[in-house]
Amino acid sequence: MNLSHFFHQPAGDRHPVPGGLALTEQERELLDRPAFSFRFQIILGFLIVFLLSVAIIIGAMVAVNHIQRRITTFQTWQRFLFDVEQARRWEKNFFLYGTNLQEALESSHEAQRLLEANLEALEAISGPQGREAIAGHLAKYHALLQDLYRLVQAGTLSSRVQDELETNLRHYGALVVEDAADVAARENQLVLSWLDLMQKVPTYYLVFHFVLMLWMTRFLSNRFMKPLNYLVKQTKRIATGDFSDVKPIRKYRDEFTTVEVAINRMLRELESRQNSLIDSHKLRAVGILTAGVAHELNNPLNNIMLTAHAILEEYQALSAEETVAMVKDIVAETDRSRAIVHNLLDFTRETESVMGPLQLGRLLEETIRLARNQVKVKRAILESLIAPDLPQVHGDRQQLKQAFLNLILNALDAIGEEGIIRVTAAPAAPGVLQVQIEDNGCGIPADALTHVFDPFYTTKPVGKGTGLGLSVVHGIVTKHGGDVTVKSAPGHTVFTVTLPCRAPVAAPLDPAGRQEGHRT
Amino acid sequence: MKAVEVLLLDDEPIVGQRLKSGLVKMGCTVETFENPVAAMARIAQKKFDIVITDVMMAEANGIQVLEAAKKLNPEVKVIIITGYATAELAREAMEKGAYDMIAKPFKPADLRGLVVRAMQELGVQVVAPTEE
Amino acid sequence: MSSIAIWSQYGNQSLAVGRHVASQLGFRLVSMQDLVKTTAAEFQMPEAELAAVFKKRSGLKGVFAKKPSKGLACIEQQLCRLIAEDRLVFVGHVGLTLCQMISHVLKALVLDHPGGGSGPADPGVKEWFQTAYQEDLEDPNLYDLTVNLTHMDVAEAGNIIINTLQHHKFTPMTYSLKCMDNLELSGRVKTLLVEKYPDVAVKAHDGAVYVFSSGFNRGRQKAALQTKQTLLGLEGVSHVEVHGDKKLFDSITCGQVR
Repeated sequence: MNLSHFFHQPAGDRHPVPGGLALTEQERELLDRPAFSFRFQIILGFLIVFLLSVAIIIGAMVAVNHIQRRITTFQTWQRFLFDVEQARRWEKNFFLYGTNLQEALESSHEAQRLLEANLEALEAISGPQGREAIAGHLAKYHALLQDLYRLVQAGTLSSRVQDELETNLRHYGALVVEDAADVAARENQLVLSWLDLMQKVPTYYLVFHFVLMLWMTRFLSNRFMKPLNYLVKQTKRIATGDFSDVKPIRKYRDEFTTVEVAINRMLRELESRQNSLIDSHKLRAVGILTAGVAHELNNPLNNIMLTAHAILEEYQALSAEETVAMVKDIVAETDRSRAIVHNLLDFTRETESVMGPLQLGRLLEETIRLARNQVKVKRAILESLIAPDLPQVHGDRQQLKQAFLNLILNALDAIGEEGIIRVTAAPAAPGVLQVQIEDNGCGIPADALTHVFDPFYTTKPVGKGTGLGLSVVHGIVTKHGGDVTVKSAPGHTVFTVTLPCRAPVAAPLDPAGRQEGHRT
Repeated sequence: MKAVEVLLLDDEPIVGQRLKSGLVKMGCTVETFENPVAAMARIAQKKFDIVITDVMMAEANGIQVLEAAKKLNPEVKVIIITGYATAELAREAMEKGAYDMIAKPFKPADLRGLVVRAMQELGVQVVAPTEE
Repeated sequence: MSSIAIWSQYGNQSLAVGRHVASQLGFRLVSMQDLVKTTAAEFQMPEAELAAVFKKRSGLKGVFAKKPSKGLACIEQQLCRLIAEDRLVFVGHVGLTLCQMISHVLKALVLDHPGGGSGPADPGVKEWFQTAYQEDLEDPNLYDLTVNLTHMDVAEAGNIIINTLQHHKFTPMTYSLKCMDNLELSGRVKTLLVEKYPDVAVKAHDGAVYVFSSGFNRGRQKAALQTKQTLLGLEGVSHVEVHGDKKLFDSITCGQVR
């Protein structure tokens, strides 16, 4: 098996990225991790089980073979024992009846032949001394039988010699029988113990296999469930509008890495959608503001028009100083027009998201100035209570401006006659700034209240007074690590935005900004 | 011949400055105001023939001035000048008795033309119609 | 003086109301037919071509037929001229923007019970209105006044309209007359351009004319320049801007587009 297939495959080949887009640094980093895929983990698990089974089966076959040989050996020893006993029976017959000496000798010889053939096996069972002993005893016995036979053949067997031979023969015959029985018994014992082993090992293996399977199930399901649970948790986090990347929990690359890379890709897609949503709402706000600004421009334009006509009509009558004063008026009014347009353009300008330290008070003042014309058109009153010396917040000026503008425009949308909008900003807790936008408008119905901030809750046409870009507000504020909540009753609706801020600075760093912030 | 009394109210000071001389030349007595509250107080004191007022102002709006002036003197000719002209505002103003409405930016001659027309309707002989 | 526009999908009855109002006030009565006729005379167009504006465009033929946008532009332009002449009672269903932007035009909607004296409504009118203006003809928000012939007779309805016209708010003034002028100028420009640039949008303000069409997109400066020259030759035009970018055009004109 080629393991390198699992370990060293180049990342790009095995993980085609959806959409065929170029890989980012982070994706590359994830995909370049050493691979340890679940497929490989599963294959490895089953391979181990398979190899164990193979080992057990081979072991069993070897054991059966061994037992077979043992049984053959046992049979040999049985035969040996039989031969020896046969020899002794013939020997006994000879001494009783004087017959069968020839057969005794043959049996003894046969036994000796068997012994010669199985010396090694004998040594395995009884050791070298046992072998020597058996061989010696048998040889002695055989020799005695031969002596006896020779004497009988020669007819020179005296009864004294016969007695002596008989004693010796009995002695050695008994020894040999004893030895042979012993060997046979030992061999038998061995066979039995092997058979016993053959019974026990599969039982043990079965138990072991069961435990192994249990462990593997647990191990694999853990390996699956942990990242799955992790991903479930992550999707819950994403649903709240937090679009930061999913961090892999494993050091190596597996199938979940691909999923995580895909999710991260999706997150970036979502974030860009969210940003374009922000942009589209920005355009909508700009559309509303443009009408107001166009009206506001009419005043300086009118001043320019009147002054220019005054110069035209009374050119002869005017003194040089008067003319200069009028031209200066025109210049000043032109500057004023430019400032009005600039304020809007500044908001409209498409800029990359730039995070930096911000004076929240100043930002709010600028936002209020943007909406001022709308407030005028609505004949509403906009009060701002912005605490001086607010600590700096870290954020994107444009986006925060838009978030507050959306909330103000939303409030403007909700109010009727004698509408009052109050913008308050103050520190709420150490390290937390709180901005509240209150209005005395129609309020948000209770059933809509839980939905106003839902990301992507833009399917319905937006009704009057409910949620002009509130999901955008939520998105922006969440991105800044803050939170936005709403409380509403008819006649009083409060949007509360909290933002993390730096510790209050003792000496104001930007006196110019502060000055401007408190001008209006 | 009695001079035509004109009150000119606009929170943009330049409007008053530039328009006043032309109206004076036509034989009007002109009082200019930048604060609607002060202007309304003056209207309560003195009877004006013509009131020219802006609409969007901080302390009060021109419609309120219009209503106040009409209440004290139904004969008064109120001319609305506004940078926030809409059909709705036009109707509201006319409904409340405005004489005419003109959108900013306008030429001084346009407004003088309106004043001349108003003066004629008031039965005043216009000294020097300054049409261009 | 003011003018009156009576809109309805009940042709005969609403015309009767209009006739009553016109005779009482001594105003000129203009029906849809009259409007088409005078437009044809004014613009030297065949009446049939103008009438085709209001024909239902159905089936394959309708899909491939040329949009008669020129006809509509001419008709609206003509209505604008007639209203500028003052003392007019118009009975019909064109010129929505015209009526919305001019404060001294009283807009009345005449309703009737479908089975009432006026006979069945012409369903084509409502449908046509929806496609032409994307608004519901019988949406009361579009009108100053709604009279329902189910509850009153023609004379009563006419008198209500006459009484309403007495309100000061329908008095013409410098501002509304200027709006009228602007509308007239933008209508004139649109009539001129609509054939060549079907999606043209025009906004005029005191002799300044702002024109949008995707036909003036980037890379077609020549067409834009040419149009600009043509328009500058028109009477009452002092400044011309030609745009190929709808967003830019919308932000310049604040959405008030004819």
